[in-house]
Amino acid sequence: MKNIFLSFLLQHRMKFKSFFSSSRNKPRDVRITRIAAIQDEFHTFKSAKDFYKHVHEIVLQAKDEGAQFVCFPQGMNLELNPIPYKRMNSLQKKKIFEVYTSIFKDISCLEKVYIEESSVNEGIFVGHIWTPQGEMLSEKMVECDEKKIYVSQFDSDFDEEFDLGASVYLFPRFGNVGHRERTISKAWMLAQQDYVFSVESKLVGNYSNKKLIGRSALYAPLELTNLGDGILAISNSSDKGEVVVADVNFDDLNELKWMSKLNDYERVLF
Amino acid sequence: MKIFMGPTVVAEEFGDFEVGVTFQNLPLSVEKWIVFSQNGVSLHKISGKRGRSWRVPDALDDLIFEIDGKKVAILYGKEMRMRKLLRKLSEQKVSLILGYIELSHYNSHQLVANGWGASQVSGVPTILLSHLNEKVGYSFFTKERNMKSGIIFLHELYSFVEVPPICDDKEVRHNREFKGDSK
Repeated sequence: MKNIFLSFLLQHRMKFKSFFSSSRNKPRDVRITRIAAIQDEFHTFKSAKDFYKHVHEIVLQAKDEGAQFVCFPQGMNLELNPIPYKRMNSLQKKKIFEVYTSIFKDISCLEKVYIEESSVNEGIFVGHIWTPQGEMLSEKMVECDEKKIYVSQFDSDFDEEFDLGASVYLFPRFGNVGHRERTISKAWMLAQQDYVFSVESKLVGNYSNKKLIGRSALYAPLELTNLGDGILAISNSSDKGEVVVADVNFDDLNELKWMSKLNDYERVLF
Repeated sequence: MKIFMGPTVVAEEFGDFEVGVTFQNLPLSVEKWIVFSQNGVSLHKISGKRGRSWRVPDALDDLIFEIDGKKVAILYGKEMRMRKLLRKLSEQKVSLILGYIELSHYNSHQLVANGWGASQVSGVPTILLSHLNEKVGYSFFTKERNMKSGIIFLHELYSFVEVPPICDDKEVRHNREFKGDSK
Protein backbone atom coordinates (compact mmCIF):
# COMPACT_ATOMS: atom_id res chain seq x y z
CA MET A 1 0.00 0.00 0.00
CA LYS A 2 2.88 2.27 0.86
CA ASN A 3 4.20 1.93 -2.70
CA ILE A 4 0.85 2.82 -4.19
CA PHE A 5 0.71 6.02 -2.20
CA LEU A 6 4.28 6.95 -2.92
CA SER A 7 3.84 6.41 -6.64
CA PHE A 8 0.66 8.49 -6.56
CA LEU A 9 2.45 11.26 -4.74
CA LEU A 10 5.37 11.21 -7.12
CA GLN A 11 3.17 11.07 -10.19
CA HIS A 12 1.19 14.09 -9.17
CA ARG A 13 4.16 15.98 -7.79
CA MET A 14 5.78 15.60 -11.21
CA LYS A 15 2.70 16.97 -12.92
CA PHE A 16 2.65 19.75 -10.42
CA LYS A 17 6.28 20.69 -10.99
CA SER A 18 6.08 20.62 -14.76
CA PHE A 19 2.90 22.62 -14.68
CA PHE A 20 4.49 25.28 -12.57
CA SER A 21 7.86 25.50 -14.22
CA SER A 22 6.59 28.05 -16.73
CA SER A 23 4.15 30.04 -14.65
CA ARG A 24 5.41 30.06 -11.11
CA ASN A 25 7.86 32.88 -11.63
CA LYS A 26 5.07 35.39 -11.55
CA PRO A 27 1.93 34.06 -9.93
CA ARG A 28 -1.18 36.00 -10.86
CA ASP A 29 -4.08 36.59 -8.54
CA VAL A 30 -7.32 35.03 -9.63
CA ARG A 31 -10.18 37.50 -9.17
CA ILE A 32 -13.02 36.16 -7.05
CA THR A 33 -16.43 37.04 -8.48
CA ARG A 34 -18.21 33.72 -8.16
CA ILE A 35 -18.07 31.15 -5.37
CA ALA A 36 -19.15 27.50 -5.24
CA ALA A 37 -20.45 25.76 -2.13
CA ILE A 38 -20.04 22.03 -2.51
CA GLN A 39 -22.68 19.77 -1.06
CA ASP A 40 -20.91 16.44 -1.05
CA GLU A 41 -22.72 13.14 -0.67
CA PHE A 42 -20.49 10.94 1.40
CA HIS A 43 -18.76 8.10 -0.43
CA THR A 44 -15.82 5.99 0.58
CA PHE A 45 -12.91 5.75 -1.86
CA LYS A 46 -10.51 2.87 -1.55
CA SER A 47 -8.01 4.36 -3.96
CA ALA A 48 -6.43 7.80 -4.03
CA LYS A 49 -6.88 7.85 -7.80
CA ASP A 50 -10.65 7.50 -7.49
CA PHE A 51 -10.80 10.16 -4.79
CA TYR A 52 -8.72 12.50 -6.95
CA LYS A 53 -11.14 11.90 -9.83
CA HIS A 54 -14.14 12.61 -7.57
CA VAL A 55 -12.71 15.90 -6.26
CA HIS A 56 -11.48 16.91 -9.70
CA GLU A 57 -14.92 16.34 -11.26
CA ILE A 58 -16.54 18.52 -8.61
CA VAL A 59 -14.00 21.30 -9.10
CA LEU A 60 -14.42 21.11 -12.89
CA GLN A 61 -18.19 21.41 -12.53
CA ALA A 62 -17.79 24.43 -10.24
CA LYS A 63 -15.31 25.96 -12.64
CA ASP A 64 -17.62 25.31 -15.61
CA GLU A 65 -20.26 27.27 -13.73
CA GLY A 66 -17.85 30.17 -13.40
CA ALA A 67 -16.58 29.73 -9.84
CA GLN A 68 -13.07 30.80 -8.94
CA PHE A 69 -13.40 29.76 -5.30
CA VAL A 70 -14.60 26.27 -4.35
CA CYS A 71 -15.60 25.41 -0.78
CA PHE A 72 -15.75 21.79 0.28
CA PRO A 73 -17.48 20.56 3.45
CA GLN A 74 -15.88 19.43 6.67
CA GLY A 75 -14.49 15.93 6.84
CA MET A 76 -13.65 15.33 3.18
CA ASN A 77 -10.61 13.31 4.31
CA LEU A 78 -12.95 10.68 5.75
CA GLU A 79 -13.87 9.74 2.20
CA LEU A 80 -10.33 8.60 1.39
CA ASN A 81 -10.38 5.37 3.29
CA PRO A 82 -8.20 2.68 1.72
CA ILE A 83 -8.29 0.62 4.90
CA PRO A 84 -10.63 0.91 7.88
CA TYR A 85 -9.53 3.84 10.02
CA LYS A 86 -9.38 1.76 13.20
CA ARG A 87 -6.88 -0.60 11.60
CA MET A 88 -4.49 2.11 10.43
CA ASN A 89 -1.30 2.73 12.33
CA SER A 90 -0.07 6.27 12.81
CA LEU A 91 2.36 6.08 9.88
CA GLN A 92 -0.40 4.95 7.53
CA LYS A 93 -2.67 7.72 8.74
CA LYS A 94 0.07 10.24 8.09
CA LYS A 95 0.74 8.91 4.59
CA ILE A 96 -2.91 8.89 3.65
CA PHE A 97 -3.28 12.43 4.94
CA GLU A 98 -0.32 13.54 2.82
CA VAL A 99 -1.94 12.03 -0.25
CA TYR A 100 -5.25 13.67 0.61
CA THR A 101 -3.60 17.07 1.00
CA SER A 102 -1.62 16.77 -2.21
CA ILE A 103 -4.82 16.08 -4.15
CA PHE A 104 -6.36 19.44 -3.27
CA LYS A 105 -3.07 21.22 -3.82
CA ASP A 106 -2.62 19.69 -7.26
CA ILE A 107 -6.18 20.33 -8.38
CA SER A 108 -6.12 23.97 -7.25
CA CYS A 109 -2.93 24.50 -9.26
CA LEU A 110 -4.17 22.57 -12.27
CA GLU A 111 -7.53 24.34 -12.46
CA LYS A 112 -6.30 27.72 -11.22
CA VAL A 113 -8.94 28.08 -8.56
CA TYR A 114 -8.96 28.64 -4.83
CA ILE A 115 -10.05 25.55 -2.93
CA GLU A 116 -11.11 25.40 0.68
CA GLU A 117 -10.95 21.96 2.23
CA SER A 118 -11.52 21.04 5.82
CA SER A 119 -10.42 17.79 7.39
CA VAL A 120 -11.02 16.08 10.68
CA ASN A 121 -8.17 14.20 12.28
CA GLU A 122 -8.36 12.62 15.74
CA GLY A 123 -11.38 14.81 16.48
CA ILE A 124 -9.64 18.03 15.45
CA PHE A 125 -10.95 20.08 12.53
CA VAL A 126 -8.39 21.79 10.35
CA GLY A 127 -9.21 24.01 7.40
CA HIS A 128 -6.94 25.05 4.56
CA ILE A 129 -7.30 27.23 1.54
CA TRP A 130 -5.23 26.29 -1.47
CA THR A 131 -4.43 29.14 -3.81
CA PRO A 132 -4.17 28.81 -7.59
CA GLN A 133 -0.41 29.07 -7.07
CA GLY A 134 -0.36 26.01 -4.80
CA GLU A 135 0.17 27.96 -1.62
CA MET A 136 -1.50 26.60 1.49
CA LEU A 137 -3.18 29.15 3.76
CA SER A 138 -3.93 27.72 7.18
CA GLU A 139 -4.92 30.66 9.32
CA LYS A 140 -8.50 31.21 10.42
CA MET A 141 -8.41 34.54 8.61
CA VAL A 142 -6.75 34.52 5.21
CA GLU A 143 -6.48 36.92 2.33
CA CYS A 144 -7.37 35.87 -1.22
CA ASP A 145 -7.57 38.36 -4.08
CA GLU A 146 -7.28 41.11 -1.45
CA LYS A 147 -10.46 39.87 0.24
CA LYS A 148 -10.36 38.80 3.86
CA ILE A 149 -11.89 35.37 4.31
CA TYR A 150 -12.67 33.80 7.67
CA VAL A 151 -12.77 30.02 7.90
CA SER A 152 -15.00 28.82 10.73
CA GLN A 153 -14.91 25.26 12.02
CA PHE A 154 -17.55 25.71 14.71
CA ASP A 155 -20.63 27.93 15.01
CA SER A 156 -19.37 28.85 18.48
CA ASP A 157 -16.44 30.68 16.85
CA PHE A 158 -18.76 33.63 16.57
CA ASP A 159 -19.70 33.69 20.25
CA GLU A 160 -16.36 35.28 21.00
CA GLU A 161 -15.10 36.93 17.86
CA PHE A 162 -16.30 40.30 16.65
CA ASP A 163 -15.13 42.87 14.15
CA LEU A 164 -13.42 40.25 12.08
CA GLY A 165 -13.21 42.65 9.18
CA ALA A 166 -13.78 39.81 6.73
CA SER A 167 -15.85 39.98 3.56
CA VAL A 168 -16.54 36.25 3.42
CA TYR A 169 -17.22 33.68 6.12
CA LEU A 170 -16.81 30.02 5.21
CA PHE A 171 -18.77 27.36 7.05
CA PRO A 172 -17.53 23.90 6.04
CA ARG A 173 -19.82 21.62 8.01
CA PHE A 174 -21.06 18.08 8.54
CA GLY A 175 -24.74 17.72 7.80
CA ASN A 176 -27.08 17.39 10.75
CA VAL A 177 -27.75 13.92 12.08
CA GLY A 178 -31.41 13.01 12.10
CA HIS A 179 -34.45 13.73 10.08
CA ARG A 180 -34.83 17.45 10.60
CA GLU A 181 -32.78 20.28 9.29
CA ARG A 182 -32.10 23.33 11.41
CA THR A 183 -34.75 25.84 10.49
CA ILE A 184 -32.48 28.85 10.10
CA SER A 185 -28.83 28.69 9.24
CA LYS A 186 -26.32 30.43 11.46
CA ALA A 187 -24.41 31.28 8.29
CA TRP A 188 -27.49 33.16 7.04
CA MET A 189 -27.86 35.01 10.32
CA LEU A 190 -24.21 36.08 10.36
CA ALA A 191 -24.46 37.37 6.79
CA GLN A 192 -27.20 39.70 8.05
CA GLN A 193 -25.42 40.78 11.21
CA ASP A 194 -21.86 41.18 9.97
CA TYR A 195 -22.60 42.32 6.40
CA VAL A 196 -20.61 39.53 4.76
CA PHE A 197 -21.07 36.84 2.16
CA SER A 198 -21.27 33.49 3.90
CA VAL A 199 -20.76 30.12 2.31
CA GLU A 200 -22.05 26.95 3.92
CA SER A 201 -20.88 23.61 2.51
CA LYS A 202 -22.42 20.45 3.90
CA LEU A 203 -21.36 16.82 3.95
CA VAL A 204 -24.55 14.80 3.49
CA GLY A 205 -25.64 11.22 2.91
CA ASN A 206 -24.91 8.07 4.86
CA TYR A 207 -21.87 8.23 7.07
CA SER A 208 -21.04 5.69 9.76
CA ASN A 209 -24.61 4.37 9.92
CA LYS A 210 -25.95 7.87 10.30
CA LYS A 211 -27.94 9.92 7.83
CA LEU A 212 -26.49 13.39 7.41
CA ILE A 213 -28.74 16.08 5.97
CA GLY A 214 -28.40 19.78 5.34
CA ARG A 215 -28.42 22.43 2.67
CA SER A 216 -25.37 24.07 1.21
CA ALA A 217 -25.85 27.69 0.28
CA LEU A 218 -24.38 31.10 -0.35
CA TYR A 219 -25.87 33.88 1.73
CA ALA A 220 -25.60 37.67 1.62
CA PRO A 221 -27.15 40.58 3.49
CA LEU A 222 -30.86 40.90 2.61
CA GLU A 223 -30.17 44.16 0.81
CA LEU A 224 -27.92 42.40 -1.74
CA THR A 225 -30.29 39.64 -2.78
CA ASN A 226 -32.92 39.90 -5.50
CA LEU A 227 -35.75 38.53 -3.38
CA GLY A 228 -34.64 40.28 -0.20
CA ASP A 229 -34.31 36.91 1.50
CA GLY A 230 -30.55 36.88 2.06
CA ILE A 231 -30.09 33.82 -0.15
CA LEU A 232 -27.88 34.00 -3.23
CA ALA A 233 -28.15 30.29 -4.00
CA ILE A 234 -29.16 27.19 -2.08
CA SER A 235 -29.08 23.45 -2.80
CA ASN A 236 -32.23 21.79 -4.05
CA SER A 237 -31.91 18.68 -1.94
CA SER A 238 -30.75 18.06 1.60
CA ASP A 239 -29.15 14.66 1.08
CA LYS A 240 -27.66 14.61 -2.42
CA GLY A 241 -24.43 15.95 -3.83
CA GLU A 242 -24.73 19.34 -5.57
CA VAL A 243 -22.58 22.23 -6.68
CA VAL A 244 -24.19 25.52 -5.61
CA VAL A 245 -22.76 28.61 -7.29
CA ALA A 246 -23.47 32.34 -7.04
CA ASP A 247 -21.96 35.70 -7.94
CA VAL A 248 -20.46 37.78 -5.15
CA ASN A 249 -20.10 41.50 -5.72
CA PHE A 250 -17.63 42.91 -3.23
CA ASP A 251 -18.13 46.48 -4.44
CA ASP A 252 -21.83 46.27 -3.55
CA LEU A 253 -20.97 44.72 -0.19
CA ASN A 254 -18.50 47.48 0.65
CA GLU A 255 -21.02 50.14 -0.38
CA LEU A 256 -23.69 48.57 1.84
CA LYS A 257 -21.28 48.47 4.78
CA TRP A 258 -20.42 52.11 4.20
CA MET A 259 -24.10 53.09 3.94
CA SER A 260 -24.88 51.27 7.18
CA LYS A 261 -22.53 53.63 9.03
CA LEU A 262 -21.79 51.06 11.69
CA ASN A 263 -18.76 53.08 12.75
CA ASP A 264 -21.14 55.63 14.26
CA TYR A 265 -21.69 53.17 17.10
CA GLU A 266 -18.06 52.77 18.07
CA ARG A 267 -18.41 55.17 20.99
CA VAL A 268 -21.21 53.02 22.39
CA LEU A 269 -19.34 49.78 21.99
CA PHE A 270 -15.87 50.64 23.27
CA MET B 1 -43.69 40.39 33.01
CA LYS B 2 -47.04 40.23 31.22
CA ILE B 3 -46.95 42.35 28.10
CA PHE B 4 -49.73 43.41 25.78
CA MET B 5 -48.76 44.72 22.36
CA GLY B 6 -51.15 46.39 19.98
CA PRO B 7 -53.58 49.32 19.73
CA THR B 8 -54.81 50.61 23.07
CA VAL B 9 -58.40 50.16 21.96
CA VAL B 10 -57.83 46.40 21.84
CA ALA B 11 -56.00 46.49 25.17
CA GLU B 12 -59.26 47.28 26.90
CA GLU B 13 -60.17 43.63 26.39
CA PHE B 14 -57.11 42.55 28.37
CA GLY B 15 -57.20 43.31 32.05
CA ASP B 16 -54.26 41.22 33.05
CA PHE B 17 -51.09 42.82 31.75
CA GLU B 18 -48.38 44.84 33.43
CA VAL B 19 -46.89 46.70 30.49
CA GLY B 20 -48.43 47.73 27.19
CA VAL B 21 -46.50 48.28 23.98
CA THR B 22 -48.19 50.35 21.30
CA PHE B 23 -47.58 52.62 18.34
CA GLN B 24 -48.72 56.25 18.21
CA ASN B 25 -51.73 55.57 20.44
CA LEU B 26 -52.67 57.59 23.45
CA PRO B 27 -51.96 55.34 26.40
CA LEU B 28 -54.69 54.35 28.76
CA SER B 29 -54.56 55.93 32.15
CA VAL B 30 -53.90 52.92 34.34
CA GLU B 31 -51.20 50.64 32.95
CA LYS B 32 -47.58 51.28 32.14
CA TRP B 33 -47.08 51.96 28.46
CA ILE B 34 -44.20 52.02 26.04
CA VAL B 35 -45.30 54.10 23.07
CA PHE B 36 -43.37 53.89 19.80
CA SER B 37 -43.44 56.39 16.97
CA GLN B 38 -41.43 57.07 13.84
CA ASN B 39 -39.31 59.50 15.84
CA GLY B 40 -38.62 57.50 18.95
CA VAL B 41 -40.16 55.89 21.99
CA SER B 42 -41.70 57.28 25.16
CA LEU B 43 -42.43 55.58 28.45
CA HIS B 44 -45.59 56.36 30.41
CA LYS B 45 -46.10 55.74 34.13
CA ILE B 46 -42.65 54.18 34.25
CA SER B 47 -40.07 55.79 36.51
CA GLY B 48 -36.59 56.61 35.26
CA LYS B 49 -35.73 57.65 31.72
CA ARG B 50 -38.63 59.01 29.69
CA GLY B 51 -37.66 57.47 26.36
CA ARG B 52 -35.25 57.77 23.48
CA SER B 53 -35.26 59.31 20.03
CA TRP B 54 -34.08 57.37 17.02
CA ARG B 55 -30.52 58.62 16.84
CA VAL B 56 -27.16 57.09 17.61
CA PRO B 57 -26.96 56.88 21.42
CA ASP B 58 -24.10 58.43 23.37
CA ALA B 59 -23.74 55.43 25.64
CA LEU B 60 -25.01 51.90 26.02
CA ASP B 61 -26.98 53.02 29.02
CA ASP B 62 -29.18 55.20 26.79
CA LEU B 63 -30.66 51.99 25.35
CA ILE B 64 -31.47 50.29 28.65
CA PHE B 65 -34.63 51.06 30.61
CA GLU B 66 -35.67 49.67 33.95
CA ILE B 67 -39.26 48.51 34.13
CA ASP B 68 -40.50 46.87 37.32
CA GLY B 69 -36.91 46.07 38.27
CA LYS B 70 -36.17 44.39 34.94
CA LYS B 71 -33.81 45.72 32.33
CA VAL B 72 -35.36 46.26 28.91
CA ALA B 73 -33.29 47.33 25.90
CA ILE B 74 -35.00 49.44 23.23
CA LEU B 75 -33.32 49.32 19.82
CA TYR B 76 -33.88 50.97 16.49
CA GLY B 77 -33.27 49.69 12.96
CA LYS B 78 -29.77 48.45 12.27
CA GLU B 79 -29.04 48.21 16.00
CA MET B 80 -31.05 44.97 15.92
CA ARG B 81 -28.40 43.45 13.67
CA MET B 82 -25.32 44.64 15.56
CA ARG B 83 -23.86 41.53 17.10
CA LYS B 84 -21.41 43.30 19.34
CA LEU B 85 -24.09 45.60 20.71
CA LEU B 86 -26.40 42.66 21.37
CA ARG B 87 -23.67 40.82 23.26
CA LYS B 88 -23.04 43.90 25.37
CA LEU B 89 -26.72 44.04 26.24
CA SER B 90 -26.60 40.38 27.19
CA GLU B 91 -23.68 41.12 29.51
CA GLN B 92 -25.81 43.86 31.08
CA LYS B 93 -28.39 41.15 31.88
CA VAL B 94 -31.29 42.66 30.03
CA SER B 95 -34.47 40.56 30.27
CA LEU B 96 -36.11 41.71 27.06
CA ILE B 97 -35.33 43.51 23.82
CA LEU B 98 -37.88 45.78 22.20
CA GLY B 99 -36.99 46.69 18.64
CA TYR B 100 -38.45 48.96 15.99
CA ILE B 101 -37.87 48.82 12.24
CA GLU B 102 -39.48 50.43 9.22
CA LEU B 103 -40.40 48.29 6.22
CA SER B 104 -40.91 49.40 2.64
CA HIS B 105 -42.80 46.16 1.94
CA TYR B 106 -43.65 43.07 3.94
CA ASN B 107 -40.59 40.84 4.16
CA SER B 108 -40.61 38.08 6.76
CA HIS B 109 -36.87 37.57 6.25
CA GLN B 110 -36.28 41.12 7.44
CA LEU B 111 -38.29 40.44 10.58
CA VAL B 112 -36.32 37.27 11.23
CA ALA B 113 -32.94 38.87 10.47
CA ASN B 114 -33.68 41.64 12.97
CA GLY B 115 -35.81 40.08 15.70
CA TRP B 116 -34.80 36.44 15.64
CA GLY B 117 -31.16 37.33 15.09
CA ALA B 118 -31.19 39.65 18.09
CA SER B 119 -32.69 36.95 20.25
CA GLN B 120 -30.10 34.36 19.19
CA VAL B 121 -27.14 36.61 19.97
CA SER B 122 -28.47 38.13 23.19
CA GLY B 123 -30.23 35.00 24.41
CA VAL B 124 -33.26 36.98 25.56
CA PRO B 125 -36.81 37.26 24.18
CA THR B 126 -37.31 39.95 21.57
CA ILE B 127 -40.42 41.89 20.59
CA LEU B 128 -40.16 43.59 17.21
CA LEU B 129 -42.43 46.37 16.00
CA SER B 130 -42.42 46.62 12.22
CA HIS B 131 -43.90 49.76 10.71
CA LEU B 132 -45.38 49.34 7.24
CA ASN B 133 -47.79 51.67 5.45
CA GLU B 134 -48.86 53.49 8.62
CA LYS B 135 -49.63 50.20 10.34
CA VAL B 136 -47.54 48.30 12.84
CA GLY B 137 -47.09 44.57 13.19
CA TYR B 138 -45.73 42.84 16.26
CA SER B 139 -43.37 39.87 16.14
CA PHE B 140 -41.99 37.81 18.97
CA PHE B 141 -38.85 35.69 19.07
CA THR B 142 -36.94 33.60 21.57
CA LYS B 143 -33.64 31.77 21.42
CA GLU B 144 -33.96 28.56 19.42
CA ARG B 145 -33.83 25.42 21.48
CA ASN B 146 -33.99 21.71 20.63
CA MET B 147 -35.15 22.24 17.05
CA LYS B 148 -37.72 24.81 18.13
CA SER B 149 -36.98 27.73 15.87
CA GLY B 150 -37.72 30.52 18.32
CA ILE B 151 -40.01 32.29 15.85
CA ILE B 152 -43.19 32.56 17.92
CA PHE B 153 -45.25 34.88 15.72
CA LEU B 154 -44.69 37.38 12.92
CA HIS B 155 -46.26 40.77 12.21
CA GLU B 156 -49.45 40.31 14.23
CA LEU B 157 -51.84 43.23 14.76
CA TYR B 158 -51.90 42.60 18.49
CA SER B 159 -50.81 39.92 20.92
CA PHE B 160 -49.91 39.10 24.49
CA VAL B 161 -46.79 37.47 25.93
CA GLU B 162 -45.42 36.65 29.32
CA VAL B 163 -41.68 37.02 29.74
CA PRO B 164 -39.90 35.59 32.81
CA PRO B 165 -38.02 38.04 35.02
CA ILE B 166 -34.54 36.66 34.33
CA CYS B 167 -32.64 35.94 31.12
CA ASP B 168 -34.14 32.51 30.66
CA ASP B 169 -36.60 32.10 27.85
CA LYS B 170 -37.56 28.55 28.74
CA GLU B 171 -40.73 29.72 30.33
CA VAL B 172 -41.76 32.35 27.85
CA ARG B 173 -45.47 31.99 27.31
CA HIS B 174 -47.77 33.61 24.88
CA ASN B 175 -51.42 33.24 24.38
CA ARG B 176 -52.13 32.31 20.82
CA GLU B 177 -55.80 32.92 21.29
CA PHE B 178 -55.13 36.60 21.66
CA LYS B 179 -53.57 37.72 18.45
CA GLY B 180 -54.67 39.61 15.42
CA ASP B 181 -53.46 38.65 12.01
CA SER B 182 -52.46 41.81 10.18
CA LYS B 183 -51.32 40.11 6.97
